[in-house]
Amino acid sequence: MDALALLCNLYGDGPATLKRLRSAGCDSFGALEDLEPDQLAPILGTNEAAARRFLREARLLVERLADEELEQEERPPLPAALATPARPSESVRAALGGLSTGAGSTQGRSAAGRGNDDVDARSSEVIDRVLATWRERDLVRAAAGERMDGGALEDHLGEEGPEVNDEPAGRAEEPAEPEGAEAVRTPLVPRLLDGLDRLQCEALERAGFATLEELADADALVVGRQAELELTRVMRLQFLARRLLGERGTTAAGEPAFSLSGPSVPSGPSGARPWPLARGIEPTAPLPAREPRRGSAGPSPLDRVPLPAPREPEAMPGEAELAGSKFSMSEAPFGGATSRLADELDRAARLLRHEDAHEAGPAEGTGGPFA
Amino acid sequence: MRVLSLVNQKGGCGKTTAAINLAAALAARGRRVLMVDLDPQAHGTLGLGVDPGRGLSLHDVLAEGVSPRSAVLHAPGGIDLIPSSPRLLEFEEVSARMLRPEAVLRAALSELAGSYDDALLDCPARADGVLTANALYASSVVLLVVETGAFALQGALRALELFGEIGERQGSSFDLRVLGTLFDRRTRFARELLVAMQARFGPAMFDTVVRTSVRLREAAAHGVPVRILDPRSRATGDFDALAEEVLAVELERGAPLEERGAHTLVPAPRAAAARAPAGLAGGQGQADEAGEAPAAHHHSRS
Repeated sequence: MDALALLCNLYGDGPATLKRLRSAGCDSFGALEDLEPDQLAPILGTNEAAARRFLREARLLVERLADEELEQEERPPLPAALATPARPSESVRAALGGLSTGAGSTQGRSAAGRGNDDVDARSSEVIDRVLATWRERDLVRAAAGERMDGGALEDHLGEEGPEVNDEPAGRAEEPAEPEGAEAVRTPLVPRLLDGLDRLQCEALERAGFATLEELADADALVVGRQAELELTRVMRLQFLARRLLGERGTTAAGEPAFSLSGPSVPSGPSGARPWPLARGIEPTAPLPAREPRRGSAGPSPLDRVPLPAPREPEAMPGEAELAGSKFSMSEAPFGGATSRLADELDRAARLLRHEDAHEAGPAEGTGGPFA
Repeated sequence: MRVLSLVNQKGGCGKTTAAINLAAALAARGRRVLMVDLDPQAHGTLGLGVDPGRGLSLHDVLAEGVSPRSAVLHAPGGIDLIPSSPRLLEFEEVSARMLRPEAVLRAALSELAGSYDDALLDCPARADGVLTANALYASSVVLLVVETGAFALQGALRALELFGEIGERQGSSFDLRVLGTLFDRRTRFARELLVAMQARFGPAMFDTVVRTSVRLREAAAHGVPVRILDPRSRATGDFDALAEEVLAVELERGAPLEERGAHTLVPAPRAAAARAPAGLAGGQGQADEAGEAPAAHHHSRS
């Protein structure tokens, strides 16, 4: 099976599409790439959008097949238009220090990209800016002496802090940007978001969405049309971008929490408010109250709205007998009769006993099985 | 007469469906096609609307020495059929007393060599049985039918090893090709698997992949090839394209049953067609000595 046949099987109508292409004299990827979507559409018997998608899938498949072990005679020739973009220069690669950034990776380079080390100024500028941001963040973190283990997270949760609200704490604390200062923008690079590859980055950049913020703020339909990406894919990327942006701004220095060089789970700064829970997710039921941690100054942040007082049952036959039962739950093991949870459990136990007694019938006694 | 065997030790991968419909597609192109059902389950026989328990069957030809011509039936789609029967299982025991049990089918088919252009052998889902050994010994082209599903690639690689060992043990020669079946391109898993198969088998794999189609199942239930049930279905188009590729293989290789000798590896049909002059007038019946396929082929000889 040659690569063109594979493409037709994967993204076309199988042999029918292959036959159409070969009848039109298009029997290789090179010949396919020479066609414009409006020329390919009548060959495929479809519209221009479908033809454009077909060409895009062909480019992706060519890249993928070029990286795999193929027999030499079956390796499709890569025309100039499909050649991989310029690779970073040696200095940039050295600065990356082996970090894989997708497009700039020194590994897995396609056959067409080998030997082409020229880099345009824009790519170099973007890469340098990203590297500078990471280095600065790492220095600040090292100076602050933050601990990245789970113990730090627990300590933060146990400290006094305000109740958790819908808005992430970081946003409220973000300092206002000084006038004239350039806003921090995160350039879109491959793998910055899950599923974001080099071709998508280029397509977004061509469409005018070169940063994470621009992608997050744009309209999905506009992005999809201009970048020629599927709407569902754009929406997913936007969701990931917004979530990533929402996790930022909680460090003491107001720097983004996202880092490729650090752990993915930030521990939170010492002394600051605890990390908020996921935005927009409200517990469906209030959490039970907990006793304050030994040594802590106040109630736990997990303390929520107090449990509503339950309605007293209208008729509780044999209350006096039940109160004296040895199975009363109000004494132990919850450490005190004033425990709210203990009261609730006690009431639940009494209700169960009441139901059991009711099922047993009046002839068998009034105290239930535990009387 | 060129003999093609459809094999895979994995059951349910589409061997019988491919055999029936490929035979019908070749017959539609004017070929004289004989289909031999080697599976004791007799699904190929049922798929062409023939009752496996009635009349002469392949068992009578192999075990009783009955003339194969008397066992041939006319089936729908212009196909002639030597049906199977559950008694074919007995041949496993009978063959133990034979000197060369794997050569019985080849000898029987030699009697029909002048009457047909192509013989398709629908093999059982078993790699080590005497029936499959007979099929491999009699074949000039072996189609490994691989379902694009779970465990497909691993099973196919194992099957390649087995069939290669059998072929070398027998001293037989055949060209091995891979046919993908039951392909559902809606799932990413199937697409990924197809890419992996293409990377693994390369030119040995047919360009055509048989896609999943309800029409194939309906046709089998009706006992006819799919091109009779629905000539405009996608499955019909797939098998038409497959027939074209199979014919192209013949133009390159073309060693008929009675002339086969030491085999050579065959490059991709399209690549060979590009190298050879148009028409290949002298190609049929002559081995392509220059065609050395890449190492992806398991069955090779130095």
